[in-house]
Amino acid sequence: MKTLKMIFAAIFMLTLTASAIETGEKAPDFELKGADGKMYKLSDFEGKTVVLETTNLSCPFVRKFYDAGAMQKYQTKAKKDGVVWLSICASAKGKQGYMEADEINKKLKKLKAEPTAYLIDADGKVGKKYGMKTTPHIFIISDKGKLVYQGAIDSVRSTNSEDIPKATNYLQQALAEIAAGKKVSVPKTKSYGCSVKY
Amino acid sequence: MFKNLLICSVFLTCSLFAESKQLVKAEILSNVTQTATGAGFFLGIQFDISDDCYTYWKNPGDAGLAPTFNWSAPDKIVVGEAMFPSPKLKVEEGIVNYVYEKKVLFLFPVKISEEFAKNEVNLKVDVNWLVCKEACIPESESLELTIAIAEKQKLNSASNAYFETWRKKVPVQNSDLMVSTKLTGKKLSITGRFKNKVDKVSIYPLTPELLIDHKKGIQLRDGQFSQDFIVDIPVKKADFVFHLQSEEKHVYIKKTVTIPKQQ
Repeated sequence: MKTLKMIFAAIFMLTLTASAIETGEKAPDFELKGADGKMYKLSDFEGKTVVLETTNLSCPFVRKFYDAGAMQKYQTKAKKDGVVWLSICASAKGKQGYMEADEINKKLKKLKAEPTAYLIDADGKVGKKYGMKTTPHIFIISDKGKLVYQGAIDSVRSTNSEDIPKATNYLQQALAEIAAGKKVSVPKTKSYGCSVKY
Repeated sequence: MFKNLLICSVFLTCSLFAESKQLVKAEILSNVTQTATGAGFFLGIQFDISDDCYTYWKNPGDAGLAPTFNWSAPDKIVVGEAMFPSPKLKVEEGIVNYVYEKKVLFLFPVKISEEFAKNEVNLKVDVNWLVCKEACIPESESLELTIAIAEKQKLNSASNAYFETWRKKVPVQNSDLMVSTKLTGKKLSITGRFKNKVDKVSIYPLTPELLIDHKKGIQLRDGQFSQDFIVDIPVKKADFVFHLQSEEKHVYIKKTVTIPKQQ
């Protein structure tokens, strides 16, 4: 009877957490097409720290970071430190934030965005697997392939770029700790932003 | 080709609409026609929300943002914290949000000090909010109101009655609601019983780290109700709002619960 109860409890827990991966767990592999036409696999970057940036370039919460040039700085710094940065567009065709490859490449150039690649996840197959709920929503994967951070970029929930310097930046803090060989001190925060648009 | 044109026209309509007209009309209201030193009254910020659009509660849920109110008041005048009426649950594509539709009045208690020496008080507020349909747009408005200071405060009976309808929707502490909690893994089960008959119950977490298990919904049986939440990020305490509905009335209760140890 006790075993039966435990099985039911386990099934129930699975239904509650099935859509998300817990920090510390292995990050599942995925393959997505980039705006540059190439295919990208997470496993291509084995042995490197990888940042997944869930994005929608028309969302006011995402624009907060791009219009101020902050996201570009995070991307440049990360790449300089050998970190792979994958922007993942979380918009289905016809929804806010979706752009065809030509348009997105022009937009990225205009913004001076510096991701390693900009990937299109129009049907949300990766987003749903990782539990990406907002844009932005950050996931950091360690060089061992484990999820070491998930959540917001920073601590001030707003669409105002002026709030960026006032906030604790969880993303940069986690990357600095990883670079120093330390454990990520804040492994999970509540993300904030627009809803993903699948 | 036609599909592309259709997509373009949808975006055009949305962006033109957003540029030409605010989707939320914000107004400042008061429940008095004049006030007095030493008195207290209420200010309200009313949102008239365009059809099919919504704005967010204090805890917006999985996405979105609560409105902010930045008051400028003279010395000796204290404008209290915003009182948020109970929201509505909105679930779209698995994304859970707590929202307002059509109309909402946020209430602010105001206290005039005995030492306030002027014959009128001017109150200004910068209001920022996010309004959403399929996508979200940030909007803002600067509002102000001047109220005369006289010997005695006078209520505006019409607006006071209107304020009262919204004040009843603001959750308050109430010892007639008994609540118990149980934590199993990340699942927090809340069980409650109210002293009066209840026909329908809604529970909203004020603490953003808690997620509602909307698929299971609320269980109501013999006056006892229960709902499961997911403690997504560990917290020691959590605030909840209970909306208890019967044929006679609606009751809105705020309760703080201590997250129990694992069982």
